Amino acid sequence: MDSFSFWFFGGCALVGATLVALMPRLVHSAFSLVLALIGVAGLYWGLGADFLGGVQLLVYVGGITILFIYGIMLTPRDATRTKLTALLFPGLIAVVPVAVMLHLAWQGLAVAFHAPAELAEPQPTVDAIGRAFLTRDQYLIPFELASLVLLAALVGAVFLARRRKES
Amino acid sequence: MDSLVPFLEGAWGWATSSAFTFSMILSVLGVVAFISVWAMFAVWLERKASADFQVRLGPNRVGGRFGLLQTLADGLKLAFKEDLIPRDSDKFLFAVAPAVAFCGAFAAFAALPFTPAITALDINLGVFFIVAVTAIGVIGVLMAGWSSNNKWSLYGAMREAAQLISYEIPSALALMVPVLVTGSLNLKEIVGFQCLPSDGVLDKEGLVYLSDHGWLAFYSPWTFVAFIVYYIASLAECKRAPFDLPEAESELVSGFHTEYSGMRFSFFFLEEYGMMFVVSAVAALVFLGGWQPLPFISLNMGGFLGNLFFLGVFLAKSVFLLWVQIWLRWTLPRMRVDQVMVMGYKYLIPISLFALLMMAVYEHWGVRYLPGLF
Repeated sequence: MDSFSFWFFGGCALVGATLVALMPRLVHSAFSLVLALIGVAGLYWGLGADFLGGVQLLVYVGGITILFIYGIMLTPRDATRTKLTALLFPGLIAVVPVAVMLHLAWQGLAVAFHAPAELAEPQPTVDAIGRAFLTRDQYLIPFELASLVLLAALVGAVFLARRRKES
Repeated sequence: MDSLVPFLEGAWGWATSSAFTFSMILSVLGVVAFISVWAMFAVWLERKASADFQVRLGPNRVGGRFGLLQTLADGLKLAFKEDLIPRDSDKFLFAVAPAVAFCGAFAAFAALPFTPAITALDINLGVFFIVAVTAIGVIGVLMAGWSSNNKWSLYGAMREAAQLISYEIPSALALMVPVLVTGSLNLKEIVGFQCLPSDGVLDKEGLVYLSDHGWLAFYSPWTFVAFIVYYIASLAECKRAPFDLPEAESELVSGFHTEYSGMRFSFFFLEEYGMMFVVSAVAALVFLGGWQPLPFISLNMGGFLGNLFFLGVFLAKSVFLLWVQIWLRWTLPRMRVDQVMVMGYKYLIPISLFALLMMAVYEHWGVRYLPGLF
């Protein structure tokens, strides 16, 4: 992956993620989340996982964040303002996992520096993913189980949102 | 773009990186120029066609008898208009929203193949990429609706979000039917499948040969159903009548872009007309044989003239589908919000799922039209 797109999308993801945490208004946080998720999709794309990047855009940017924003938009404009000082305690708790992750990332970097200079050309992934999902000794059972869980969630959502009879 | 890089390296002796950058810039400029010219033409066509439907004359002063330059004059007027930003709006989001909305249509354009040789971005993900990036446009609409601090804008934006999320599902499912048949998401390969001769060799010597599959809309009854479902869902996705609730003039002033004027407004306009082209072009490429002029007869042409001819055929098909969109807009009344939801969830999604299932069964049996016959 060429370095320009890596730094560009990586920068998008980092700036977006920082703004999600620091923006005083919830709506601004939600829109920053879009930026962060697009950055991650671009990173997947650059690393040769084109299908994963597309799914990231379709499901997270096009579905989940739109629903987030949809919900937040219904709240009054100034009720959702949070003070930065209110974030102090959660921030302190977050220090430990962040430190662990940075440590792991540093170890990963050490591996990456010893990686072979010539990397294989990325292959198209859609076909391989489709076959892996539907092959019995690979991911057929987990894939079908996940489908069942999603179906149950769907039926549950319809049940909760159904029109109740006036009692 | 991919064919331009070796050309620049070979003919002009450029370095790979600068040839790559140059062709990237050229592709971007080409897409922007095409969207602008296209929007001008489409607005002119829309005004002329609506005038015809209502027995009026339509634009007939600027640019000759047919008012060909009317949109150019309107565009200049928009460019010189004062850029108004409401005092109580969220200024930053208000300013970037039109650009974000435009990004969706722009990114989708990049993946469209215009002829076998002209594509800005030839990617394996093709159809899926276009479905995925159109969602970015909705984020821009939501931004515009929320930041305007206007109840009409907010209502318009929420309708848009609800509508797009609902109709993304049937349109993607309908596109899965041809993908199931061709076994590829790449738009060029899907067109290639539609002009594949019976012996399976695509690059034949002769100019004209019979195609075994024909256009995918006529490949089997289920692909035809998928074509109709995709067309209806795509109308909703680019907020065209009868699904133009996000703008609904008679209820919401002009929906999510009520507060916009001048250039920022014209960006929303470009986005809408750009999306209209994208959905028409995807329908033409996936279901109507792309750049091939006749259903079961394929032409094998190359070079500059061949590509020019293919480009003309492809644009003619897209313009025809656009004209049908305009035709529907001036024929059908707007639907109610609940009718839009019922249409999406109770009719289009089950129909597209059923078509997908039946197509899989047909492919498994190896039949195309009627089981047991042919």
